[in-house]
Amino acid sequence: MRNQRKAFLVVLALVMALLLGFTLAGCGGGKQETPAKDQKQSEVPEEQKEKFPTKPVTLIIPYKAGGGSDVAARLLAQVSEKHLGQSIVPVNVEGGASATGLTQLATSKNDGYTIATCTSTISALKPQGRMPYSSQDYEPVIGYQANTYAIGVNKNSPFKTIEEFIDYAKKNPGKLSVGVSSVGSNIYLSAVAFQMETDTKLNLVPDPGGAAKGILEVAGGNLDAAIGGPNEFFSQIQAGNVRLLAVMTDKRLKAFPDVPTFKEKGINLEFRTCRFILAPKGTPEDRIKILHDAFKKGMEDPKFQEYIKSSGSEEFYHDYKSAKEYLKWQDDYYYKLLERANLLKKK
Amino acid sequence: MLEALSSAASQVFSPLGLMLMFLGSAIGTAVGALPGLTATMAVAVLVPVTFGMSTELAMMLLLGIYCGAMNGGTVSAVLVNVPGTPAAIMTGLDGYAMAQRGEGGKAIGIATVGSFFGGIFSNLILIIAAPFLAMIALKFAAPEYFALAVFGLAGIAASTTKSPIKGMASVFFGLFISIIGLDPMTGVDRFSFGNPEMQSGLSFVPVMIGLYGLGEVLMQIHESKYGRMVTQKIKGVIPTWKEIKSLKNIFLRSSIIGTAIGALPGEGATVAAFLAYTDARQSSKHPEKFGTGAIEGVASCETANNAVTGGSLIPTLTLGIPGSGTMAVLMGAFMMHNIIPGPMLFKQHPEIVYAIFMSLAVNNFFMLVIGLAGARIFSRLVSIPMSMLMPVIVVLCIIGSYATSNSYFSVIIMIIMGIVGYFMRIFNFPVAPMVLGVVLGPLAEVSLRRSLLMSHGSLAIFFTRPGSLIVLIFTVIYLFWPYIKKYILRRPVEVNIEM
Repeated sequence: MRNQRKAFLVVLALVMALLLGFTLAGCGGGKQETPAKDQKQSEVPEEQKEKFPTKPVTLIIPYKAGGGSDVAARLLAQVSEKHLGQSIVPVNVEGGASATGLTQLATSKNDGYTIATCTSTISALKPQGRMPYSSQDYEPVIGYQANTYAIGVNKNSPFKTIEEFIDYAKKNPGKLSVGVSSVGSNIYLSAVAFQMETDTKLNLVPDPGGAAKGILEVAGGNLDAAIGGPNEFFSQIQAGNVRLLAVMTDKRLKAFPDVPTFKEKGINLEFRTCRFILAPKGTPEDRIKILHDAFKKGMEDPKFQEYIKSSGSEEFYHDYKSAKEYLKWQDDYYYKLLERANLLKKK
Repeated sequence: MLEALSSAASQVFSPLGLMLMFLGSAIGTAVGALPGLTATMAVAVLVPVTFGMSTELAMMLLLGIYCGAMNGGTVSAVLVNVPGTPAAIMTGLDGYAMAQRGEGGKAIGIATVGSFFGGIFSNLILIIAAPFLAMIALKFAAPEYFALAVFGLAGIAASTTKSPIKGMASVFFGLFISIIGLDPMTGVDRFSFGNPEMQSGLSFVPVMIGLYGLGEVLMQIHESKYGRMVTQKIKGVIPTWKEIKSLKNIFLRSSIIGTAIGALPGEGATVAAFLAYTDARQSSKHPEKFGTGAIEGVASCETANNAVTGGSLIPTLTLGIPGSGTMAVLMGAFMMHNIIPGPMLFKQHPEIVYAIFMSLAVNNFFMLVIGLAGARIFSRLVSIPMSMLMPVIVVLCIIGSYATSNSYFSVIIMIIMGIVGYFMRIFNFPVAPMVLGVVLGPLAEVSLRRSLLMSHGSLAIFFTRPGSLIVLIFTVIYLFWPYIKKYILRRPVEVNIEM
């Protein structure tokens, strides 16, 4: 009897915990929808179009707080709010290399009140079977920021130029260890593009934490080279531990005027990861335009311009029409790289 | 330099600066005390609040929260055996036992003094040795991290006294949990059943909240502890000079461990607390008392986890490499204020570096005051009947796990882990090794595979590199230390004991 009572109480506690959890989850969803319904009843549809937005807009950041995307998107939201006339509330929904947050966006209401930021990673997720949606399943709002990558070596490295590095890599396939971020990520794919364009084979050493560890290991002389954002190299370059061999842009970076581009060296390698704001598919175009205009004005804010400079970002802008084309091109390019890296989901 | 110093001092000791730091420490302590709300989360949520502030003021507030949360985690660990932050897991072992004896106030007092000592010590080390430690840290690569992870896991085995087999089983179960999700290196699906949320792995916080929070609640119900009142002796919060003096060795050793572990990127307060605890037990004259309410146990891990605060700032400030999740968030805050941490920070913005050093010291002082003065208030938590406290804890568990990823999935993980934790308690499997397995699993796996990629598949890399060899040798000595100690003691008295 006593044991039965115990078991009953334990089960009861669990059931109540579950119920409470459901209630909580329900609250989260309900909050966003109730005001919208109220408006529908009280307003004529045409007026509603003009009066967007009448309540705060939720911005899903599909990465963890404090990361690159978090910093960039939060700042953009902050400087764009006054132009939108409503607050933009960032929410971090991390996981699955942004697949969790982007899936949440895809299933959100397409009324313009839920948007998300994404990086070029969006083009790598569906081909790898990590998300059922591709970039074409969203409505882009704006492309607002881009980072390029560079390849760096230790200060004592025998490679003085990128040509020497490529020569050695050609003669010794798979011998050079190069630090990159996790398999299938942007930096990893830039290394795949490097191998494709230079016809070399490198020993890629990925780290799930991003490029930082690889750069540190280059600084400590434990890896031959690393690929990462120029700003991620910045402190080690300043300290004199690391040299950059080349950057993957079309023209030299203002922050590193001495570092050549791959293009100058006759290698057709240009690579950048871009940040966009997306809305769910079917969001009305007039609302997309209102959002786009607010963000565009936000991008011109001195605070945002200062961030672009200090973070080593590239100037990058696409309006909601050209962003769609850019994403389409990027989807194809990433598909090609993933195919080459043998990362496509087996059918 | 003087200019930078006075500029930093004028910010730190301004009324607004002092107020922000006090506020930060108070918020931090409260957040730390609530299971599931970690220092990382508190800092992340409050980063946007600092946008309008100067960089120095922003750092003061955030560091206050960080220090406060490290110490605040003690309160719930001691009083209800639910660690408020992962770093307080080890604190619960002895702290909770002390609370059950009615010495909760004393445990919190000792922990707070230890935290203060650890915080100040690590801050001093940060100031003196930052540039030097930055150089050593550069020599640490994947093989060394793997050796460290092995060291940590071996430590778990060594710490499981009653049944090493159950301890190891618990470790491996933890390691198994840690491999669920996409392979971190290649993205291959592992044990996710194609579920997109499982693919990103079981995140640590809901697992911990489930095992410690809900699991404990269920166990309390099972033992029919509900409705029982635990009256707390809230006297003696401020430790006597004698107690502090008797603990000075532990304070010092744990501070060193905490600072050193904190300075290594990738390792965190949880590992530091664990290592300090094991060290204190190994070096104790009465190791059997550990786990039954030993004051040394509480002192060691709380000193160490707060010593991590200064330690983890070393790689963050000098290398631009955050040593922990909290540091990563802090670094994000730096970037928001257009400051790039790294070796150049000391040259370009010395006033910010000095402001960080000073505010860490002041924050630790505030933490001491709030911890000691507030202990009486916190102790009252436990005189609330269990039948009222337990549902509150369940609510906190659910909110805490929901808040980690804003998804219901985390709540499910938390509930499942709660059931697992309940059955582990019933069958006497220790829970801590499992949690440490979950923490160290990814570090061990990724470092092992990166090392082998670097060496083109040769295992020799672990023995030819001095760093990893030293750590591995330490691991072996550590594992066999009880036997070595016995052997040495058995030998004739010729051994020079005064050494």
